[in-house]
Amino acid sequence: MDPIFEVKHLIKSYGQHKAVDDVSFQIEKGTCFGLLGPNGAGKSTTIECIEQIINYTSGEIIFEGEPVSEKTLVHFGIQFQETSLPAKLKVIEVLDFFRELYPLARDRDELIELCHLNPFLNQFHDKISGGQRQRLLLAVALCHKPKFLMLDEPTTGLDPQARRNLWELVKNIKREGTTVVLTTHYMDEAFELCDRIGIMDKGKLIAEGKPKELLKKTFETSVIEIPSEVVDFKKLEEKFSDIHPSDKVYELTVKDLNSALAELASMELDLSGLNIRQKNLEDLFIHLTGKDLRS
Amino acid sequence: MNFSFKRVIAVIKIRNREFYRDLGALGWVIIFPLIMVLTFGYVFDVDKGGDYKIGYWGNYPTPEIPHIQWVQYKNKEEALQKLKYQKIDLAMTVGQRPAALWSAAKSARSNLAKEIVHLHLLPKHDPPYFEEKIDGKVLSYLDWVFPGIVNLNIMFMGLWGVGWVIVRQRKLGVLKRFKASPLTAFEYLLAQLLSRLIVMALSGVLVYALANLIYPFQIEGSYFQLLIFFIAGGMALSSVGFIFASRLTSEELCNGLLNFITYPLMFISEIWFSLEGSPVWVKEIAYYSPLWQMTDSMRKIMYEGEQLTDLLPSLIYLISFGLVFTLVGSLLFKWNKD
Repeated sequence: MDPIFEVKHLIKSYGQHKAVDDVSFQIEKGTCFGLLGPNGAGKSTTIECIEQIINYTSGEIIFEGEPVSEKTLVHFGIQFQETSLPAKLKVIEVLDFFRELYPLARDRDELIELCHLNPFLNQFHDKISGGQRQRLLLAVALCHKPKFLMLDEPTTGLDPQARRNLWELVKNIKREGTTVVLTTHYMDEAFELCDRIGIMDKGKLIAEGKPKELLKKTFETSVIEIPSEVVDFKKLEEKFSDIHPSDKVYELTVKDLNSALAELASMELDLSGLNIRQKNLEDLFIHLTGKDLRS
Repeated sequence: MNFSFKRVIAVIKIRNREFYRDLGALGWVIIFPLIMVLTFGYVFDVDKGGDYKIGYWGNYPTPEIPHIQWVQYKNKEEALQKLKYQKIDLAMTVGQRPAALWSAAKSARSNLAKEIVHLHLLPKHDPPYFEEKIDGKVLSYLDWVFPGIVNLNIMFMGLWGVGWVIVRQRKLGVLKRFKASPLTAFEYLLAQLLSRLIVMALSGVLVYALANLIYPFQIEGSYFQLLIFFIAGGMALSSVGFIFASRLTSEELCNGLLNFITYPLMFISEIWFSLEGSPVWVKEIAYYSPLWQMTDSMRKIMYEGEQLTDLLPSLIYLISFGLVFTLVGSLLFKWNKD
């Protein structure tokens, strides 16, 4: 791997508490790296250390082979999780203002097109919807055509349609060759957008890799979900060892899917409500940390 | 990061837009000083013939006397009670012989009122009278207090319009967003200062013009020199806001601190009353107040016709004060809470 960006042993302490604890990862050019974790895991702190918004205690942050400095920061763009824009401005005025702050700004029309801002361009930014606001904040982050873009929970609080719209925008940005770091606690989002992911908990990076590889490495099993109304738990216990009663279903974790299905068929059950799924990132997170990703 | 005037202009533009789109703030900077002028004009200048108030009782016609306003009460006791607390300057009988008169022992106004009454009503003094007329502009209290009121407004605009706004932007995360751009702390603060000075200058001109329509006043010196002191004073007072705003993240704390500094500044800067007769140390402290330097210089330009050359030390003081405090503010400045 030839990384464009690298974090080495990053630590950010607040007194005795380490909000980011010895985190290291690399990102390849033009890819999307996802930082996953529950609230308070240290994702936003890591992002803000990278952007030099807050000072970090120790570690190295390297971009294009050089330690991050004022010179390299001009290539960074960031969409914060918690931020506000200057008051009483229209969307178009916000864009123009941030474009004026950079020596080489992206063409205004191109930016409007890229982030689909046209329908609400002349509205005041505090009067637009959550999804439109996120698109505006994304446009602000992109107004100087950064090589490296950080998106801190860009879809939190958005409805499913707005989330999918934003995913499309991020995919378009990736197609332009921009390297992206995305923090999220949505599994589907990470699976859809990220080439590699890092899972954070309590300030530490506890797993890192390609999503499918991480799942394959951790789980060599499948999950069969059988509605609890069609089978007696004791009968299942006679045939299967790993059974997890869940919401109105029994989850059977099996290594050999074909043999398991044959066993179920031999029990002469109504299998019309049966569901088979692979282990997902949610399962991986619970497996690694013992808790739900959105807790 | 190299200094960029383009970025300064960009921040000035958005700050000015925010200001003129906030009708409440826009109205207040014009309306507040005008309300004060109207109030003081009414309280102190509305009845030119009634400078001295004499209380009386009974239903008798009162004689016309220059500079005397008659105030009728139900009885003697009520009038004497008012005199005791100097709500009036004299109390006297009307339509009775011999006339009886009560005055407030330690009040200069009361003694002057008594002299006027002696001259016009009571048995004549033996001639010859000694009379001397001194030429000169007679300043009403409104004339004297007007520059102070306008400058007080400038102080509020500087401290709250700059200091408090910065703290609010820090708290909301606007400054964090700015930090992730090439904008530097000095550029940001300079833009805040220039934007405020534009608003101060425009509102100042408007308030002077409107106040002049309501209560015309003669200015001995030049309007241009007045404007220069207006801007220099505005710069000095805004820069005080930078120091308070450099690190605070709590609007409440900022509010408290600004109030803490506003009141002493207001009282030692001869806004409402003259410091003549005050202890020397009070006058020495007042000398270092930018509000006092600004107000005193503007009064001298307006009513004594003093020139910029006469007031150069004050101008240099205000500009130096503004530059030093802005520089210190930008050195102390933090975009966000770490």
